Amino acid sequence: MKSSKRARQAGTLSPGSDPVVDAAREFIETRDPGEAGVGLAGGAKPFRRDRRMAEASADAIMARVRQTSGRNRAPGSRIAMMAIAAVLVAALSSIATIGIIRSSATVEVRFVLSAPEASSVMLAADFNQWTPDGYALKRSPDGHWEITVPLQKGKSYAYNFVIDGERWIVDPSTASRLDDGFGGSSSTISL
Amino acid sequence: METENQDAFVAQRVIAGDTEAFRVLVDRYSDQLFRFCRARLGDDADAEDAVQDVFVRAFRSLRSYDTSRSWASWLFAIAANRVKSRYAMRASAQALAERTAREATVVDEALEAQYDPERLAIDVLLGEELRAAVASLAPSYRAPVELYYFAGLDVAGVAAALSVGEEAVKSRLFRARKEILAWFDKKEQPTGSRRGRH
Repeated sequence: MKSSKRARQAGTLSPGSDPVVDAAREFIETRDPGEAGVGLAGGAKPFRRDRRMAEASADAIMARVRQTSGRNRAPGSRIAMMAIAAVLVAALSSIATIGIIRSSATVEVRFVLSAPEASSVMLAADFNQWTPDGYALKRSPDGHWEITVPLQKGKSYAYNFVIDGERWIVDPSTASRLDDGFGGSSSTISL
Repeated sequence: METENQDAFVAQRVIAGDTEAFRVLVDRYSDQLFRFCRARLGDDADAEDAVQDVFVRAFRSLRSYDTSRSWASWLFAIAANRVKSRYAMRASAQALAERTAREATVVDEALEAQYDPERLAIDVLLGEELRAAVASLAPSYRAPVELYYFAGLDVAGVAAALSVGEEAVKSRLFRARKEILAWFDKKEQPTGSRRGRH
């Protein structure tokens, strides 16, 4: 099949061939299921991970997760979130706002953003796995963008608006923010 | 399938309040996630940061995870979007500047980590070679390739992570593979008659 594979199996490489390009070509041509798709029969592995850094990362993740978990359980924070939700509903007349239409088990939430210069606005949130595709806001003639999403009552959600496919912003009408873990913030809403 | 059931079971435990069980999911998927992030970001430290951020994001969103579906695909859907939007531009500029320094430290790293220096050197350069080739692809081909080759997801997993059909994934992988191999061929051509591949 592949010249690179033949050369590797023979234990020699063609004179003048680039062993790195050979390895890269072989990596793409063969996928080793035993390595979960990564790595070559000969043992070459791109993107090798430093085990000490991996361990430190796992510890850091768990430390942050415990913090988050502790915050979620604190009764004080729940009260604060309810107060923020009340502020959200009261902010209906501001530039960017969220309208809430109540139904039985779900709540129809209208996300609205004023962004007259934007070419597109999407909604990325935990309820869509931060995948804004399919959550494009529609533009009204006055430069407002909006989308209505059915969400479950009694839950809290985090979200960002994505302007022109690349700029993630918080909802400027809401004060409730959450560290998004990326040096930025997400807006939150409790229903 | 068995692993997927186990993942869902662990996720349910975490949702029920057993925070420490999340470590099982971290240990199971962090290497795959690292390779995916490293391929996209071009830097070890940035990739580790991204791994942490994606897992924390996943934990915070865990209640929105549908336990009847693949947790790995759900995790990588988050990763694909977050890495794309937050890191890509910064990392691409940095990676170029840092490559020379990284190559210079390969032998030191090998001695410290007791790896075969020659093998480690090839691994580091191999990663860069693959990154460059994949970066040359159109965006719609790039994500499937990174998830399939670097994160190690299967076709169904890639399809679920990207919310596209399996046939579309296969077709993109097939075309991407052709383009990558052509990219390697083209790269070797200017140096003359190194080797015939036709």
